[in-house]
Amino acid sequence: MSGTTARRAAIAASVAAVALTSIAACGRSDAGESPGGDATGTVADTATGEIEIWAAAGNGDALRTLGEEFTTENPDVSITVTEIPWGEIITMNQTAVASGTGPDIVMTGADQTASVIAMGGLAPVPDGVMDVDALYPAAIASVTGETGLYSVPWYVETRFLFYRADIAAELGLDAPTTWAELEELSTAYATRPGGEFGFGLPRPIENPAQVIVPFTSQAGGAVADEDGWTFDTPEFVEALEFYQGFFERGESPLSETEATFENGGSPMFISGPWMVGIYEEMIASGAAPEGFTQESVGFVPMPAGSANNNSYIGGGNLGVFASSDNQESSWLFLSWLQEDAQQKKLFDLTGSFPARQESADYQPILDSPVMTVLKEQMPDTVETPSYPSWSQIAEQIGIYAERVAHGELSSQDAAKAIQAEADSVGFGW
Amino acid sequence: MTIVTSSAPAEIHAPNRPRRITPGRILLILTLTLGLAATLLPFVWMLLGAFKTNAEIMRRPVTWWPQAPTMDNFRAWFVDFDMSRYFFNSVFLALVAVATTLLFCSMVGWALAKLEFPGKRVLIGVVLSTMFVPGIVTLIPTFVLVANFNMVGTYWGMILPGMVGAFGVFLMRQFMLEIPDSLLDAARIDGAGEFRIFGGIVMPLCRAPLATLAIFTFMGSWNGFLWPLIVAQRESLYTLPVALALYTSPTGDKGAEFGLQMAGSVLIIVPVLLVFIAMQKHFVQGIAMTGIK
Amino acid sequence: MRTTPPRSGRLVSLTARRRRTAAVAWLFAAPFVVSFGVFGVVPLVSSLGMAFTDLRVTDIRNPFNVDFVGFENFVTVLGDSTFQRALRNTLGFVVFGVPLSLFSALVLAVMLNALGRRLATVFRVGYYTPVVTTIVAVAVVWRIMYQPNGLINSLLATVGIDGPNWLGNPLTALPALTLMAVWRSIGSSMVIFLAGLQAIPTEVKEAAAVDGATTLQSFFRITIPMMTPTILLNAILTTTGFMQFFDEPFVMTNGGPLQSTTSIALYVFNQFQWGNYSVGAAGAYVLFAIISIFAIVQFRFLRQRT
Repeated sequence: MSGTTARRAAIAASVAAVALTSIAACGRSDAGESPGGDATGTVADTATGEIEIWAAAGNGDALRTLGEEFTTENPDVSITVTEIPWGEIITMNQTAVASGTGPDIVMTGADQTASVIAMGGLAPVPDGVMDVDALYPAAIASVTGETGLYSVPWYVETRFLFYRADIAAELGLDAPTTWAELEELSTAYATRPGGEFGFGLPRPIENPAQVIVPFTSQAGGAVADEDGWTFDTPEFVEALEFYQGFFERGESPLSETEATFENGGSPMFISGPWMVGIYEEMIASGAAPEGFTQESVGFVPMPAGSANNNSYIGGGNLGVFASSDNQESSWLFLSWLQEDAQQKKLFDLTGSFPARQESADYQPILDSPVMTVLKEQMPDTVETPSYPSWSQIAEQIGIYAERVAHGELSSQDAAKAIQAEADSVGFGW
Repeated sequence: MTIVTSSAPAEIHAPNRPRRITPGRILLILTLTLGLAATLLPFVWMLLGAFKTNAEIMRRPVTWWPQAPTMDNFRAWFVDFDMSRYFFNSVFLALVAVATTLLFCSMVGWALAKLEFPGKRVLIGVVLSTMFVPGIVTLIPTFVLVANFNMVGTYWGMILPGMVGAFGVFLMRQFMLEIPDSLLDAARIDGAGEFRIFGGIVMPLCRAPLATLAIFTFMGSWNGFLWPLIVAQRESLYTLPVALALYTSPTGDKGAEFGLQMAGSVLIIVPVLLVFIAMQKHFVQGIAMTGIK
Repeated sequence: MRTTPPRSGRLVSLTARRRRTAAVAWLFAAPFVVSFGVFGVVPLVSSLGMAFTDLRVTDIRNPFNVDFVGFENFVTVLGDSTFQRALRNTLGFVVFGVPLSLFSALVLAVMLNALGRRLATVFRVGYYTPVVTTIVAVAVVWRIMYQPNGLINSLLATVGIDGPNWLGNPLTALPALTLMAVWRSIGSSMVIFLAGLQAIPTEVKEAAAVDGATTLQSFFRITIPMMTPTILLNAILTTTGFMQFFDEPFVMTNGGPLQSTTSIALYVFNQFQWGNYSVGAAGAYVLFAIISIFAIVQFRFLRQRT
């Protein structure tokens, strides 16, 4: 029937017209706006009102405990903590910023802070809240936006090398301290009788940028400077070659495997201090394979490339939500959390390493062998590139690294391709 | 009224003749059992894993039967972890979702199936279109909307957007299309009003699709993770899947808790399966529609 | 809708009757339409609008402070090699997975329908269980099963087949995930088919049996035609679900190996994670267009014949 068809067409046309006119009303104004506003706030003398905190999973209780202590000194304030899963932090900040509703304090992972800064979700840090020189430089870099600092580093973490000390001893080798020694140990592991792999590197589909960027730094380079990305450089190519070499020689598994650290199939990997606890539990519960004891678990700082032995810094940063209506008190709380006593308390509560450098001179840390290694590695760290577009570029690195590892592409060509992609995306501010 | 409808076919089995043990039957049951075993394999591993320690789950080669069985995972869920609040939230939201969805979708499904009105085609098209868009795209606009209504951090915010599922509308419409027009016309001739027809004839005939919709809606609500997380913004409103994700996620000094995850997943599944068992009783052969010759 | 004139003798004009029916119809539809108009249509239209701008993560505070860019995002998306790969993967997945899933579910439903009550319940619950499980939990199991020396290859070895490295080989990864997705989806389709089978009166089948029809003939001549609306329902639901293939690639392979399992929905998700909202929206609406085409075709093909 032409009547209904005409009517349907009319409805469709009017819907389209409405949609288009509202889009046409959009337009960027020329005035630039810096994320989070321009003015930096002030810090209160005593905290009042309500402070709502979004904590990443596992940190809720610590913040509640510390919050209670803070409240005894500042009785007019009440602090509530809501835990959210790490993976959803970006999404929740997106929705909060879009709707203008959100908490007062927001916790972000060191690799997420840049995105939230770009959203305009964080307020600039006022003077006096933190003592920049007292914190690890890489941690400060992770909270740096285009025009200043937007969060306060709370705790830090990094990764280092775990290796089968017992097997290495049998092979007559010590812990590696350079790239060459690392390759030597890996080959020795893989070629020994009954050996399978030599080095359990993150697979190309498991975000390999997390090791390739530190490798680049260890080779004396960087993936970005003030002007742009620098992937088409000899150092990045060297890092890529180093990474894919282990896969090419068959010393790193390209797919799921039954080889594990504890059964000796994959006797080396890069990870963090919590692995010690996992192995302790495994051994205590009797689930460990024959011959695997606590002494088998060796850990040392990252082996050095030609320039240094920088590893990736991670951790948690705390910032004040840009639309918060209780910013002054929130800054006071964050400033208080930065103090030496609270940083040490944090370690007691969660085992997280303090962002304040001097707080690492704490007996429980010094007494723990794995924490000592962490402490040794911490000054030698490089941050995840703190740009909003980083996660997209890291994905590209993974895609091209996979092709290199499969022999489809040379490292030089991959570096050029990654550079091209990165240039088209930019920094994302 | 001389409309023959049966609202109690529950006693009738399908098919309605004595069941003999024939070779065909045995083959049927055998095939189904083999298929079932294959289908349930991953779930069985998950179930067994709930009784294992984390270390054992991570062991390679994998073990099937727990070598060091433990109740620690379940104990952690019931004792250390206050399930009651999250359980209540999940139940409440799921029941509201089922009630509203069943009511709204059957009403509009009926209109779309058997009633004529201008704009019918447009409505079907628009409703279906919402199913064709991945949820992530409409997430932020929906949240902004909910925030504008000041419903963030409330039960309303968690309920309302879920009430507009195209799935339920489409499901009810398709089933209602199968109702014979002769039945309805006879009722109209006898002077029954539309609402009377809807309540007295249509709904009793729709036990199977209603039960189906109830199952799917309950499951969708019960397993929902992202939307409840984003809207709740307060731990007191969290539902079970959200709590599960939080409680088992890795932190500074521990890795992923596989044992807890398996046990938690098993616990979350149980209510849905119970609802399924209860609802699928309604998948009964309908003799009702043959009342009119 | 056919209306026979009332026999009571009172004449009611046809238009008045039609108007009244329309009013009643809208009354029935009202509760849903009102809430749908707000929470369904508004986000849909606004996200569609997003696709025609250059909205990014930095604009999220002032979403109207963006430029209108016409079809630029769509061009970007369609020209992106990752998207093209995702498109090919998704279509392959749908073309193989949907018929497999639908056919298996139908056969299963018919078989279950022939059982007695108690036995049927056990099987129904069992076959429905995969639908209910959370992807994260079962992913662990499936990964283990797909390992080069895992369960599936062990079973294949007993019949002399040397199984491949399922998730590591770009050629076998997508089929492996397809199998997993089919496993997860059969239960839902089965349930809907079961409900649909109940609508078929036994008298009709028995009459056919009396007339000498075999089970197979009865199945194809009576059951299937009467089930057309249900089949259409399941076809559209399954196709829509499979086109939005996300969970398996996201949890199991992150789109790899070598982009062989990346899907359109994963592409859209990534764009949103990276803050490229308008590009993501454009990708989503390309997906929308494809699904709509499938749906229209299926509606035409499976139109209810009375």
